Amino acid sequence: MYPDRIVELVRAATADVFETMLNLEVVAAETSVDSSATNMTDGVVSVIGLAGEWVGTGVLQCNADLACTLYSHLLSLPATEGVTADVLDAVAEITNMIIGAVKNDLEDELGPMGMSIPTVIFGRNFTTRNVSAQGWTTVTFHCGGSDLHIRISLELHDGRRAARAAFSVGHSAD
Amino acid sequence: MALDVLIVDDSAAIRKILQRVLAQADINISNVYEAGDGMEALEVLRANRVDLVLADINMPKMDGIQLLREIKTDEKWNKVPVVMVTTEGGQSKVITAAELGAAGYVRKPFTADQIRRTLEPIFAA
Repeated sequence: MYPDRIVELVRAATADVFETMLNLEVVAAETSVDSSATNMTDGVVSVIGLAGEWVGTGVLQCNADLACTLYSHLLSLPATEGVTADVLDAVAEITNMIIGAVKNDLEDELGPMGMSIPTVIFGRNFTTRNVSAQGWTTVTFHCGGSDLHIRISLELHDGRRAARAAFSVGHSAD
Repeated sequence: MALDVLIVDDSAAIRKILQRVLAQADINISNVYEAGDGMEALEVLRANRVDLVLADINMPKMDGIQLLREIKTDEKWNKVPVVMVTTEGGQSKVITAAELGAAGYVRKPFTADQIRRTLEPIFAA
């Protein structure tokens, strides 16, 4: 799967979700294709698995402030208590809509794909790692002074790789 | 006649948004019930009169397609209109939902107008 195509679809899907559901300005910024599957992070990481003839993972990553902003705009409610379960639920649904729209468009080219229920992680100094042979296409957006990253990894299914395609989370001890 | 509506989605955020859209729409709503998956939805249906179901597809325990199948094959509920509100936009899912008897299909992200326009002909019929 060509990274340029993924970037195009991610930008379109993100702009659509932000305009339609959030009424929030988002500015497309840099993109990258990383061979490394390991990423140190703080904040909120929302993960969705994709499975079909092609298999992979879609990830939304942002800091706590932006997660609260997304919640506030989605529900027109203030996020007065920081990153609560309701905030994580809102981030999960936004991930679902963005990755779901990308998946729908990719299905025309790659065949039908199932999508998992999102898993959302919030914390500090944790490491995410995808045990996949394929690298990540990362699309960054600027939104209200924070960065939003949408990351997608896709590879053609073969039984050996798919069996290892688990997403794991570890914690840094510093 | 005031309607009793069941909203089925594993996202509490989407359930709240749909409740708000229904409250703002020109539809006379009496009660809004919520369920987080298809199994919970069936429990609500067994315990209450429901005039309309809005259901997601990708949910834990029982997905929206199976819920639609359960509703449309049970003579107590098979006249209840079911509208799918989902990120699943693939042609195969849309066709499956239509074949099973879904009254409408709204893709997320959605606007309040899209929900209203989908519901109007259902209640005009």
